[in-house]
Amino acid sequence: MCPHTSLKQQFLKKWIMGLQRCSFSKKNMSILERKKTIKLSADIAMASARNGTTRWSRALISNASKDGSDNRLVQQILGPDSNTPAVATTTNKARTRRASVCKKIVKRSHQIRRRRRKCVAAAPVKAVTSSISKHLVRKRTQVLKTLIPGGEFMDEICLIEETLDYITSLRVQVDVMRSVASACFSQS
Amino acid sequence: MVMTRELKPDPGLETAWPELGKVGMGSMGFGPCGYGIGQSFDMNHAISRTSSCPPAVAVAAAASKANLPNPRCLATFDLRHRSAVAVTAHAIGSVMLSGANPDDLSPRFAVVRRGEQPKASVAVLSSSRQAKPWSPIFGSMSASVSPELRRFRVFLPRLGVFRAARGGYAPSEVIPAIVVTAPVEPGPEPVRPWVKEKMSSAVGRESFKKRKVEKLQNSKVVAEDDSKRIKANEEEGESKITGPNTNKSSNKKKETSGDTSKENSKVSDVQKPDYIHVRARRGQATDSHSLAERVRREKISERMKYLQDLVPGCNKITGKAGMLDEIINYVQSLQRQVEFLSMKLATVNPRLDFNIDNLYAKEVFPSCTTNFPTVGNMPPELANHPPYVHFNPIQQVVSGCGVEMGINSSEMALRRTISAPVSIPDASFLDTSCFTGMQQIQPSATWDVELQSLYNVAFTGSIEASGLKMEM
Repeated sequence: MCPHTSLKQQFLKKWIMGLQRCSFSKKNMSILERKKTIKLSADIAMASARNGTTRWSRALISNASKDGSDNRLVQQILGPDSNTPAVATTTNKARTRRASVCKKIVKRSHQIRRRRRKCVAAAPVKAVTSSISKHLVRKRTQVLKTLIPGGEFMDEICLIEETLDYITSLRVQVDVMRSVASACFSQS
Repeated sequence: MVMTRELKPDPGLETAWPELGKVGMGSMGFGPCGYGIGQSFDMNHAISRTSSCPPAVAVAAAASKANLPNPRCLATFDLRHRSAVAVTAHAIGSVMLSGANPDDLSPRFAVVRRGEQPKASVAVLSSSRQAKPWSPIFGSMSASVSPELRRFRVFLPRLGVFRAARGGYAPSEVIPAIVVTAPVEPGPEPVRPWVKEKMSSAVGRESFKKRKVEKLQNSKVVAEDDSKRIKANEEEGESKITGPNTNKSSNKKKETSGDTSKENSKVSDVQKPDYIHVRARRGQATDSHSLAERVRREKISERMKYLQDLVPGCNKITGKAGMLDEIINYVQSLQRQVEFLSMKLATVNPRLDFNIDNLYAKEVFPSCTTNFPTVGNMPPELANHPPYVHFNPIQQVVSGCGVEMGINSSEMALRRTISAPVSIPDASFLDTSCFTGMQQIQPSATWDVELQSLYNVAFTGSIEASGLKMEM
């Protein structure tokens, strides 16, 4: 992926340095622990490569920092970066505030739609198909919200934008990890 | 010329059209905006009104009026319209929203203020001077401002609403062609190639005034040129924000002669509220909620188009639900791949030290000045390993990142060079590049440079060239 070269390099550097920091803390980890550490460090590296500019990255870091067991790991990985905790707290508060506001707006728009639907008489077939499609779309956006970190608090527009960014980051992550894995396997 | 065209009632329009001749400029088929401009309109009013409509509508309206009393004005108006669609859209008032919620996060729609040009935020192409011909002309006009319109003016929050922060892209200052009197803040977003097509499609959507097709084509061409110019001028990030705005503003149509007149009166006071121009389509509900919903829907559809390009296999699917399904599957598969690869990496090395070899190898190219934190552990391990063991993972990693290229030949070439007894210089340069910051092995600066270039080149995908260079 030529256009993402710099991102790859950045991610790789952060990931490896994070892993180095983790490896000194514990010896003789089980395979699952190792896997978790690797994945966590990869995710954190990916998120920090965004420098807090995207919501999903902030949400990912804050989610990882929430748990007690992972917290010190995250702190180790992030290292001297002190700005991320501040960002996390602000996003939490902002998120909850935005969530409540969004819910109010959604409720109001639903009421208005209900009122308008009573006035407008649509053809029964058309209404059924449209309602089905709307139902499908709603269900799928719910699923997408669970997939994207921090997606539950985003409206649809932001969700799609974050999905775009998240997909590119995941691609970069997969590419780099795959190459590292193949290199390691060829070596041993 | 426009005036000679027969006035055919548009099939898509309501029956209000036939009564255009009878009714004063007041309605023009747009019901709810009943601002009372009576029968006694002068040409100024007509032009101001028509300027608020798309060129087709404007000319049609003017043509329908009183048998073209003033072809001169219309001609000039025609020229002006040809010069800048953006200016037209900009000139046209939109609004007509009532009941804006102050806590609403969605963008507000407000009366277009033609006169205001806060810094460079006024749209209009690369040449903002095109907007200027409007202002003196319309500034001189006087029109009665409908008091109802004042009520509907709402303030738009900064365009930060639209912005989704993206990774570290430089902000841009360029403005899009159409709309956005709002001073657009730089948004760090990746450039999307959709501005151009969006603008052309947006202009094309004005075609409910089909009788003036040539005008539309002209404006479409102009818009496309403008969009090209804008794209050339823009840096990354701007297009995303401004694109939706331009799309919306040029799409929605609404009767706005009163708005125009209000703008004229407001030309003098240059305020700086952030407005989005929205015009409701003819024959559709014009309250604020439907307009907002339409804007939101169009934004979503635009972004879905980007997702279509990003997610493989989405090209054939057109519905929102189907595309969402594909996106979900893709994201899930990517996440599963990450899990699988991390498990694979965990099995490979028991101590999480697999990265050591690769670390140094790859750390070379991004920045040679990195000081590795664990200096002490490295030298004994690396010194013991034979050089080719170092080289292979590097090669593998590098080749893995550039899978598309023909790697095999370069791999073979490199292995050959390493295995040969003459390959000691290769090994030495490798070590020196790895231990740039350390005083371990004999330095050879030339090899450092070559290795750097090797990896830079390799990561950009041309591994064969680097392989050949290595053989030298």
